[in-house]
Amino acid sequence: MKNENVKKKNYTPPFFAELIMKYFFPDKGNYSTVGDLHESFFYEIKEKGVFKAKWWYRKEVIRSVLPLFINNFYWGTNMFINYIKMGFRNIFGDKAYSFINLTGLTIGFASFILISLFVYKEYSFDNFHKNGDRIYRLNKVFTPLVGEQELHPISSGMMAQTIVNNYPEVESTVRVFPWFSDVYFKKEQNVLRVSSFIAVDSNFFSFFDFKLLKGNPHTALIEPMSVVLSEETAYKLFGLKDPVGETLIDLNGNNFKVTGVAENAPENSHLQYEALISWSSTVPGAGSFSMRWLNNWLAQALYTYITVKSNADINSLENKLQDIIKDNLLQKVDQYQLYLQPFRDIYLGSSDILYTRKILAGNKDYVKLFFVSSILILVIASFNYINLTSARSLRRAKEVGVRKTLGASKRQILKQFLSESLLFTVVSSAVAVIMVKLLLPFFNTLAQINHTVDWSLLILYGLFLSVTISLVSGIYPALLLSNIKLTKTLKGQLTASNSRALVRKSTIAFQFVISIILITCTIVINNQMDFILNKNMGFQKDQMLVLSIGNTEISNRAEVFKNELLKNSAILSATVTSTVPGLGTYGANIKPEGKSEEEDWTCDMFRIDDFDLLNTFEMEMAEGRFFSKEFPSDTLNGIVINEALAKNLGWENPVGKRLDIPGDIENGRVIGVIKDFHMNSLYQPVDPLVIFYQPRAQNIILKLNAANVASTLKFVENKWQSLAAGYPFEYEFLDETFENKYISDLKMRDMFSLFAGFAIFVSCLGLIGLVTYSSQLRAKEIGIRKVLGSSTKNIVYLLSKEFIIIVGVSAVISLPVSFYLMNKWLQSFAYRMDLNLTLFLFAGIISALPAIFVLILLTLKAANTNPVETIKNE
Amino acid sequence: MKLLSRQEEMLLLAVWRLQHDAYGVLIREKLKEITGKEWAFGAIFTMLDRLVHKELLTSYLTDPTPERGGRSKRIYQLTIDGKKALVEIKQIEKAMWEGIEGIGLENN
Repeated sequence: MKNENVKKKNYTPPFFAELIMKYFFPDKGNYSTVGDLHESFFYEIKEKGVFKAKWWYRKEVIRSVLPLFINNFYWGTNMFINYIKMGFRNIFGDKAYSFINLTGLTIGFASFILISLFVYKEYSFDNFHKNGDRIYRLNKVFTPLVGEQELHPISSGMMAQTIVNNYPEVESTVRVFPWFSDVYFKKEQNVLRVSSFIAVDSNFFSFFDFKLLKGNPHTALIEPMSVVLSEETAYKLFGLKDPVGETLIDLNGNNFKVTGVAENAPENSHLQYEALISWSSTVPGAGSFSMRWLNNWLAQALYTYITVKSNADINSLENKLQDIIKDNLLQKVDQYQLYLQPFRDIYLGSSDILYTRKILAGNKDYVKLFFVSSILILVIASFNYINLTSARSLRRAKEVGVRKTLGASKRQILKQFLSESLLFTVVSSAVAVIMVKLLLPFFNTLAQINHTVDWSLLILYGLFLSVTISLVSGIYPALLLSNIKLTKTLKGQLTASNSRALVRKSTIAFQFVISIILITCTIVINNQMDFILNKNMGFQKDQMLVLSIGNTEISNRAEVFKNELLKNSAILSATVTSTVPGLGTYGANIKPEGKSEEEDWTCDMFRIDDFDLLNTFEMEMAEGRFFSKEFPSDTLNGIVINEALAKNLGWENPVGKRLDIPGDIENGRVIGVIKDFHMNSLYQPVDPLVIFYQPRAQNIILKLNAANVASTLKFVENKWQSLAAGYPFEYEFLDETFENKYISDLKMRDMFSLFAGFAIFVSCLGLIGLVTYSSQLRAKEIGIRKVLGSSTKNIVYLLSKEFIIIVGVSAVISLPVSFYLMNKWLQSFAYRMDLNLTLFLFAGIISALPAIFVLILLTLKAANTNPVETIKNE
Repeated sequence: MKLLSRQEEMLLLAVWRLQHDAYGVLIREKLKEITGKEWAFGAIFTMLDRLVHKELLTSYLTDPTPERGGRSKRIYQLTIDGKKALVEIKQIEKAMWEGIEGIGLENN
């Protein structure tokens, strides 16, 4: 019984072979052919058994199909070669038409390939961790007492262990803390600056998939003061020598032991490192890098990553996590709401998260926007092809007629024109691929990426694009031509129909709507970026030289250094300060007078080392006075607050009020209110801030005379060398540093300008083609009109009327769309330019101008032709 | 009218011999019997199609049967034209061999 069942089960012929048979011998859908084979298959089973019968079936199908296939292929290629030949004749026969199509398609392809390289790169971030989809970062929603909610990615150093201990669904956690300041390793005579110096837990290499090349991944980061170097850092410090076991000394005299060399973090990793130090080094009592605050509940400074088990329920885990805050940070329970951000989302999905320090971030909206605009450029180019080819269909109609009389089927005509469009797309994609290869370095600088691409991938991509686009853009003209009525074409009775005119008009309109939107956006983005970069920050930022002295010997003699420098008349002013205006700072608690102990007033901390901040930065006081040498007590308990803080606290007359900064200033007294200035980028509004005296000598800021900056720099460097020989002389200009904050927006502006230019260029190309063609078609009519006394003006009007209306209508349509888009974009800035109608009108005119210009030029040319030329031949 | 090819002749004769059983599988058997060669199904189908197209054969479908995977049989029959073509080719053949005793290899 069982045996029979098995037999029955095997009684079906091989599935795939049968499918092929069905495809090639359908017998009009009756499949009697398949039946025949099926029947013989039974005989074979009886004679030779199931296994052999199956092979017999397959062999039989191949034997049957192969000759047919070869036959099809032979004649197929023969016809295809003929089509391509005709295509080439067509390309060379009308050079202007081919040039316009090929240029448009090439530009379309090239921009599409370039942008998709960029998009691919952005989406491929962090895809190399095998547990990537189970890793989360512990973030929190922070609700300040006054103001809007913020998202913070940072957490306390106590979180990681508590989470692993309390929640069984969590597999492991790792803490990652990028050092605030740079670390300088001594290397014989020189010093190597390491800016991504990161403290991590010892399970870093098992948690993530960064590869450890030398050393033991499980033990390398256990001992205090163990350091794992990246390959690059190791090479810079030790050359080709094996660094494991070597001792490193930094400028502050700390000793590190090198316990491993890790592969450089891949380019597409949001976590980047030059050197990793064991977490145990930060634990008080263990290493000389001890940081008590890193290991308590209050300080929020590091990133906690969590791997959950594969069956974990994230939502319920998020809810349960809140218990940790309840148990350990009760005073913050209303302010901190913990949540988990998926690891793969961190790079692109963090643009609204604050305090992301020393990790790479992209912007999802921009990536999407670019992808959409690249597709739109492709569409514009395809529309050019569709329009021009269908406009020319009148000219090709006779050819189609002759082909049809000679026996070509509709299908064959369709195939012919599709192969022709394939020819166009293949040629353009070949050019585009070469262009991309050549333009890539330029594009890399523009987009701030480092993308390399090899030929094989590019060519494959080009082929894929050419096949898709040839189908998409070729199908409409091909259908149009294959449906032409035979008798009409040969009698020459074919005229343009209304429905076709509609298609043409709407495609042109679409092209111009898109290009005008892109151009308008470019103009708005440009204006906003100018606005941001030139906006008054509340202090002077030009010609400000920032020298970081925190880690050098100068730190102890900052005042001496400053006075030495001021001897040069090109240095107008100087101040030593730990906090730099506009470059951000940390937040901490304050205890203002008249507010209850329970309330949590967090505000930005600004620490100064001398009293020259106000005049160096040309800041202004709103009330009271700034720190002054005349009041010695200022250094002890003087506090200057900003207007935002005064407003938040609701103080009418803040001067003289008491204000403590726990840990820093006891019995503090407000001596003045400084006018608001920006501590962060203009995405954020001005936060409340306190300024107080606390010498740490982190930075010295010089205000330079605009003339002879180079020689002044030389002077500063000489002084630097004499006071701090061996320490690298590094400086930055404040305005440049600001510009870097808007790098992703500036990047977007540059890329957008480029592609908007492409879009309008391709659209205008199409317009040129159509106008030229229609004036050729109407050449005789124009000639006769002229003979009958029509003026040039009239003819220009006649020819361009239709197109000008289309361009005008598209400008009107695109206006609200671009307004909507730009308004949305501007919301990301706390400070933004006004969007007014004149700007959009201006943008509309700017973008329609090239089209109108082209139109007038071409129609003028047509109108000025001597009528004799056009009417003489019949 | 064009003369039949040898293969067409064989096929038409096979169909005639099989009469009401003239469908793919048996035609193939018959051809094997005559020529000693296993013809590919595909070759037979394409040729039968062509002969139908030339109106030398007609065909009809029987009811589907389970041992054929639920497919029908297509039974072929000679048309008058088909028969005429066979007669014609036979006469030509006969005329060609008329009076030839042998070409000297028959006994080898």
